[in-house]
Parts: sequence; C-alpha cells; structure tokens
Amino acid sequence: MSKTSEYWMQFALQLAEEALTQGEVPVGCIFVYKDQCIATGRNEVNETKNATRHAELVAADRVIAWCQKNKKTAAEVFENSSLYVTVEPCVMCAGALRVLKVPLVVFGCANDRFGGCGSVLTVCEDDLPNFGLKFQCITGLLKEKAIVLLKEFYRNENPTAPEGKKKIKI
Amino acid sequence: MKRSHDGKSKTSKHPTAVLADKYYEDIQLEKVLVCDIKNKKDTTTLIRELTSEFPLPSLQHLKRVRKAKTQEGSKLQIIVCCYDDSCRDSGGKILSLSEICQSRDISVDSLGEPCITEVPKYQPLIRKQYETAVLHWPTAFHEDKKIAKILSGQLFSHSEVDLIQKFMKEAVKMSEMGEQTGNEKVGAIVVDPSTNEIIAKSHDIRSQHPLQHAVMVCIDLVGKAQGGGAWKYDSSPALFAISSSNLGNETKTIEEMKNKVTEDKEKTRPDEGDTKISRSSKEKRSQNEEKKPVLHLDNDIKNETGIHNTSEDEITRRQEKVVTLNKNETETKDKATENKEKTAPYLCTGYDLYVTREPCVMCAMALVHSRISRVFYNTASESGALGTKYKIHVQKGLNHHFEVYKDILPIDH
Ligand SMILES: [Zn+2]
Ligand SMILES: [Zn+2]
Repeated sequence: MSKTSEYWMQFALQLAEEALTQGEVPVGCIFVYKDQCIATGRNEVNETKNATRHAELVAADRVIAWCQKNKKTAAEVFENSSLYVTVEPCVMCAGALRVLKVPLVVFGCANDRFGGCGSVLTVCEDDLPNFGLKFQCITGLLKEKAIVLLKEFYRNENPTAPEGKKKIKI
Repeated sequence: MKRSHDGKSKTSKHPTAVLADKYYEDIQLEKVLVCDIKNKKDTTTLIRELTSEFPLPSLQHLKRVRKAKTQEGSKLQIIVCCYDDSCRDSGGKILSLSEICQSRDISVDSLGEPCITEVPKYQPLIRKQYETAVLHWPTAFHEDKKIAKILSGQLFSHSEVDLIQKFMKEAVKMSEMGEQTGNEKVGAIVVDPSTNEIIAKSHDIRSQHPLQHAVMVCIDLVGKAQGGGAWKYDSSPALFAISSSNLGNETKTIEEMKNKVTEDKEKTRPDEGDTKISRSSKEKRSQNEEKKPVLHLDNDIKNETGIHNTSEDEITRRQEKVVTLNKNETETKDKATENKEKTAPYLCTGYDLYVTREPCVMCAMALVHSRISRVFYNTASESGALGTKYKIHVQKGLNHHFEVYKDILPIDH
C-alpha cells in the first residue's frame, strides 16, 4: 500500500528533531524511491566543520551508498525519487537537486534567508543551460511543525537576540 | 600551459572585478516640480520654507537649488516638490503654484510658475554615473575609493597580480589532474591571504559522485584541515589539505591525515556551541603562529614570479599590503582581530578561493555558507553563478557577501 506524503514528512520531522538534540539546525529529509525510504539526512554542519553539510546533501551521499549496495545506478535512482524535506531547500541544495535531476521536492516551511525554491531565488525553475533539470515543488506540508522546531533552535541558540533577528537560518 | 612561465610577461593583466549590477547601470531619473527664484535674496527663506513644507526624504542627495545658465547670465531654480497626482488636475494638467502650495507657509510670490524637471533618483555610486547625474541636477557624490580603483583596473599592484596568477596556475594544474582522471577540467585551491599559504587543493571528481565539484571538495578539505570534513577521497591522492595544527610545516595527503583527524575530533568536541569552538581554535591558532615559518611558501612565489633579491622585510611588507588592500578602507580591524575571526566555526572566513571556472549555483552558495572572503575564477561558464546567471556573491537578502574577480590568466592557445 502506498504511503501518504504526510507519512514521509512526519519521518523527515523526526530527523529534524534529532538534529535539534545534537545542536544542529533542525532540518531533516528523506529520499523516497518506489514508495520506499532509501536514505535519510539531517544537518551535520557543526559535527563535520563543513557549512555545506545540509540535510539534503547528507541524504544524497546516502542515496549513492544505497545504490552501490543495491547495484543500482545513482542517476536512475535520483531521477525516479522524491525528496521530502522539512524546510525549503537553500540555494545550494536546490542547485544540488537540479544536478541530481530529482524531479519532485516536497517541503514544509519556507526558508526566508537562503531559500532556492522561491524565497531568495528560484533555482528550481530558472533557465540554466547544462545545469541539471528543473524540478517541481510542493510546499507547506506540515509547515507548522517545521517552524516550531526552528523556533526552538533559535531560542536556545541566542536567548538575548532581539525578536527581529531571530529569523530562520538554515 | 607552456605560456608565460617567467610569470612577468607583459600579459600581467589586471583581474576584472564582478560587481553588483548597480555599479554598471545607467542613472534613473525622477520627475520634480521646479520654479525659478525671482529674486536671489529670497533664496534662504524659500529653502527654509520648502524644506519644512515639502521635505524630500527620498531625494536627500540633491541640492535644493541650482544655478541655470540663461541668455542674460544665470538664474536660480529651486525644487518645490515631487511631481505626482497631487500636482495635476483631473485632466492631467499641472496645477498653478498657489494651488499646489494652498495654505502652506510658502512665499509663492517669490517664485515663477512650476515646470517638470527630471532629476537623479538615487545618489550616484561611481564617477561615470555622477557625471551624468550632474547634467540633470547638482547631486552629492562620495566616491568609494576601492570601487574606483577596481573599475580603473588599479586595485592590485603588479606583484599582487603576479601572486594571484601564480595561485591560479596552481588551480590550473589541479584542473589538469581532474581531466586526467576522467573528470571535468576544473581545479580549485583555498589560500590564506594573510600568510599566502595554500590551505587546500582539489579538482573535480564528479565521475565518482555527481556533487563532488572541485569547489565542494575544496570546502570539505578545509573542514578536514580543521579536524572535520565529510567525504572520503581514497582514489585521489592529488587532493590535499593542510592540517591546521601543522599549518606552515608540511602538507599532508588525505591518507596521512586520517589519524590526525580522529585525534582532533577527540580534543575539540564541536557541538558545544559557537563560543567554545572559536575559543579552542583560537588557542590552537596562536600556538601555531609561534612555530609557523611565515615565508614558507613565499620562496616558491619569489622564484616563479621572477622577483629576485627581495629582502625578507620587503616580502613581509608585500604580504601585508595584500592583506590591507583586501579590506575595505573603512575597516579598522587590526590583523590580530582578523586572525581571531578566521577561527570562527565557518572555516573559510578570511580565505580566498581560486577556481579555474566560474562556480555553479550550488558551489557559489556553498561559498556563501562557508563565509569565503574572495573568489578568483579564470573563465566564465554558461550557467555560472558569480556573474553569468546569478551574482550570488552580492545577492540581496543573503547574509554574507564576498568579492569576485575573473579573467585571471591570459587566454590560452
Ligand atoms: Zn541547503
Ligand atoms: Zn559546482
């Protein structure tokens, strides 16, 4: 039986929560291929000292590992997968998703500061010759839960920051 | 890459800066209502009255009054107000001055009838815009000296250009290794401009992993150099990073670094919050500084750029000049502060990236996240994100901006 989008997004939210407990920005995601979760990811920026280790890129590495283990070609798998991510992919991750030719991205809340699927730029749909494929976005799924986690993170991060500065930072 | 091996060819051309669009745009104009001042001695009163009754908050860069040439000599003209619907009747005709001013406290009798005039909408940013702007109306202009130098191709001295080219040649060597290993011909290096040391070198390895563009790899190697990093690079011995605790002593291949990375991880737990990370790295950095032979890489540079008989003092001065020229003139931070900032958890802070080809949007944004200081790239690419399709480095709304220079080496073949 096919699982619902909410089911997968709940799953991604659990990963975001795990990131929060590790002091990372709470963003989680999963790649779904043929109705099966093949890879998960959450932010790992602090633990890798690499500011590019966003949930999406962490999960992409695991898709590649999964493909190696299951004797599949990564290109075919990415091109037939959907990504569920709690927050709008940033400009970098949106670029990565184009490179990987992932056709569909379902996300929760918008990413006002870095978003590459409408908030800051529209990398998902811009005309970029020889740069992967445009992808479709479905937005707003369980966004309140994603926002609650982000707010929680920024409250702990900097309790003295004025309200205006506590913007979402991914 | 046989050309200009002596490094001081006449082709020592200045890198081209990639600035925000606003520096290249023509000036925009806005319509205002202007009246002649009948009697020059009323000017002060009129300025006072109009400033109070019709303040022009969006046109603060304009002088209120200008001297206009006439056949008889000259006359003074004054801006009354912005030209908008309140200045027109229902048929679109300009109202008379007394209708516009109505019951306001303005010496209407000292003014001629209003006419529409176009004035510069914004304060000009560069001299060329200024020169056009003043043809319309007297305008304030504060020239940004650095931008002016950039636009006239004088930001970098000859020896700085040589140094930049030297680093780009390193990146080109890396790109050739990328090509030899069946990848795209892209190479990248990260340099600490305060010491001119190469922190990490990489080339494209997307044949192994579609996201392992040279820049992404280089950023990860910088993380590795600081005891982090995410990717394993078993089959690419050409890639390397300098371990931060060995900065200035020797470079290590990834294989050699593996043990080191584990040690570092035990020493510094990264998940204790920003303050602690930066403090512990700061301590590490200051220890290194004592034992670091500062000129370690500079000997190579000296030889390859053909600068001989240079005393150590001169070399140091040159390095310092590189550092100061990097900084905005208004910044007064000293070098020590700068070094401390560099040890913030975002590890490319204060570093420069040299990459043979304009980065894609993924790589460009990765550089924003990593807080890179400057990027030098050799050639543009059709979907490039630092000038061609986007200008990520000056994108509005992003929390970090950096400088970008292109066209570093003379065109090959
Ligand atoms: Zn991202
Ligand atoms: Zn790239």
